[in-house]
Amino acid sequence: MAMNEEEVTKEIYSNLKYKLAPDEQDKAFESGLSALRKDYFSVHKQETGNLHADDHVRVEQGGKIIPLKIYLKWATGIAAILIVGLFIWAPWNTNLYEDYAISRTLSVAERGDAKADVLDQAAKKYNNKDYASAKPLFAEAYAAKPEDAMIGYYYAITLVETGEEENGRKILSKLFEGESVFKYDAAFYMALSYIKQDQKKDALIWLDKIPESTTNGKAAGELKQKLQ
Amino acid sequence: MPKNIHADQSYIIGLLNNDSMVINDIYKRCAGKIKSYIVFNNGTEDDAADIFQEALVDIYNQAKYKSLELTCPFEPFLLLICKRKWLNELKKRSVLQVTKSEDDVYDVGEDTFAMAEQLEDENKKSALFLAMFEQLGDRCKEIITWSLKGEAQEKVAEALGVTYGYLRKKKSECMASLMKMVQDKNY
Repeated sequence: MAMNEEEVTKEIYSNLKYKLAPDEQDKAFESGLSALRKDYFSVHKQETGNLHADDHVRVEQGGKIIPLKIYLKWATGIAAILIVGLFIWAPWNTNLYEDYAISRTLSVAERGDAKADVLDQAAKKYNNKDYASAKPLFAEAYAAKPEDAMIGYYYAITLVETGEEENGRKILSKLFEGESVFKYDAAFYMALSYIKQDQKKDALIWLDKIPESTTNGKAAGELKQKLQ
Repeated sequence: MPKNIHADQSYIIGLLNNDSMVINDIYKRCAGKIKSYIVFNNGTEDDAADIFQEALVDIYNQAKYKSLELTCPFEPFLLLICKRKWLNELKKRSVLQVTKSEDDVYDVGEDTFAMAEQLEDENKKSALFLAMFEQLGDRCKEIITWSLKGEAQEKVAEALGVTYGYLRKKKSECMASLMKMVQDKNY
């Protein structure tokens, strides 16, 4: 089908602009991703490399030579059992809320603007655990964008942290009813908010709503065992 | 029939705005899953980091230059894109896949598959455009690149040492050539 000059230009632009002539926004985006790479993909190249080592690498264990892979599986399995056991039985572990709290930090990229906006300020306060100062900033952002699940989620956490558990739960409940990626984090935080107020029964109800396959599924399972 | 745009379009907007909170949250939620998948499928953490970043760049690119509108949840969409990218990479490296090849690892709906297919198709199209661009003559490549930068044509003509009229005509010819080369490859 013949295209006119405008259509041809548009087609070429949409397919080649990023690759051949990225603008400042495009470059800033990529550079931001590169910075985050270091935070989330820390280099354990040596360990990963060893785990994929060939089967001919051996270690000596009790006079027997066994393949490295099998040894590592055994050793990490034992370590995992010990760690889980400690988690379950640890008598010193009284503050479950603090121990299982999630979403403790937000990354704040440095911006070229002279003024950081409300959310940047809120995130900085949040990361410094200054929830009392973060709360009104999140409140302002939430009032402007109540449909923004992320703002709602972090605002709710600041409410729980500053003794306004009931108000925090209203937002978390709404998030759970939605379909955003915060759905099950919100359920987990609902449970935590009840744990904070020593309302174990309500906490268990919310922990039951969290599927095992989700990010907090394992932690929810552990908490349920500790609360029962 | 109007599209049902998903609420997670907010993630797309966040990427477009280079919103640090949104992007950080995406990494927080998804990076670990991709890392696990790739490392357990003959990859390294560096591979996982590359794939993850490429996927986000693809999504950003499509959102900015091709008006991507999400009709599915964001997280499974991103994870599926990453997974497919990795499987393609393994094929290129001629490595046998360890896990089952069907998209069974993540619980995804039809909309997610459709969106991932769409993104993949658009990427292939862009790759074809780039490949055909490389086959143009140097002058055409220069003119098209200048044009993509959005510089004023008078300035470009001066920089290239040609008249404005010549530039306009040449640009039109170069773009038409490129388009024909792409169409001849049956896209």
